[in-house]
Amino acid sequence: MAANDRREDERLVTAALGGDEDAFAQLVRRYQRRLTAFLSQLVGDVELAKELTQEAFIRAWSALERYDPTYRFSTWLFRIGHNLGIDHLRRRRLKTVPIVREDRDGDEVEVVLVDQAKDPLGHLRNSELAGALREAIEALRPEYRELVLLRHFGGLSYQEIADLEAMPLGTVKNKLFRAQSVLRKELASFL
Amino acid sequence: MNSQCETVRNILVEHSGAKDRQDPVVDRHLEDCEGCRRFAAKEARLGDILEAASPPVDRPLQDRVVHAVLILEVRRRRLALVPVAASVLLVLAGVTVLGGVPAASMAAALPAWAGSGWPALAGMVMDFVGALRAVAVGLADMISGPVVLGAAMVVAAGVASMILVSKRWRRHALWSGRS
Ligand SMILES: [Zn+2]
Repeated sequence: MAANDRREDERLVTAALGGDEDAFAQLVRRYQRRLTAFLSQLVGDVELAKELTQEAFIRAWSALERYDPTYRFSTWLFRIGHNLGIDHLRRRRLKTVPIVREDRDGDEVEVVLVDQAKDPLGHLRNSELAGALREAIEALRPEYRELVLLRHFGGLSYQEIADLEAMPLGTVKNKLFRAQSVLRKELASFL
Repeated sequence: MNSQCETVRNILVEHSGAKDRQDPVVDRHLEDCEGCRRFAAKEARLGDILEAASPPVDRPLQDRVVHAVLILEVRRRRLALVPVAASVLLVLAGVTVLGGVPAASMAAALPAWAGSGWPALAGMVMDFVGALRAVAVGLADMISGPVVLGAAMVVAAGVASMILVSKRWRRHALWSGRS
């Protein structure tokens, strides 16, 4: 994220803490799409992702006084959203028996059954591309998948991802480079 | 592919084909390297696909979020009254036990205009705490040093609580003034 965006976030957070509700509404407008997109892919359900987005903003608002401005607001907000999504997945796993399959590396991966109405890629007109993209994302190893979701759906910069994942910047670069080559291979016919 | 190709491709991946990025090193390399040009085109296309894969802006959701936060604020403001009331009571109780409250007769000594509105309410409060004080004085024989110390601590706790609450209150008040 550009330095200007970061400064604008800081200004909006300060204004919101000073009682300006328009400033908080602007933060919602800046991040809603990206946070919902990220959470939709993370939990595989766009309706649930909307609920989690709302919850994440409410929690961010409630904890705004405790927000440490040495970190980017985006990183902080996405951490809240990410934790909500992971908690949800954990609860769902406890309630249901996951269907698993083996990926190309022989690792077990959970098969996510997507309800058409809640499909995070349901808005794509090209259903063939949507199907290929879904498979390409599923083909990623979990450690790559999360980074890809944060980068391309959450729109976070490499540095923001490094901060959020508490990972060295070089590791983020390496993993995303490899993840991207998997995506290019999986989606070759569309490129 | 040489080492410069690798560097350039890392930059291209990081910037989704470097469509919006002016980088003389990358541009110069792309002019001379057919392989990296193809790579850049694919990265840009992949970037477009992933961009289109994000659902569009959801205005109703944004409005719901802002509305939910405003409702939360109103509720929190109401709840914030509880510690305010508790703090005031703590201070009054402590001061009364310590015998520091002015007698009810002081309220009676106020001028006639004080017989209505807020001054009257203040007079009633003072009468009430005066009555409490009378009870405290009646119990004075039984009140020992540690009780006085305890009462002083209650006053201090009440004042500290009021300071803390007023800090929280500031944001609530500002928000409610606009909502
Ligand atoms: Zn090259």
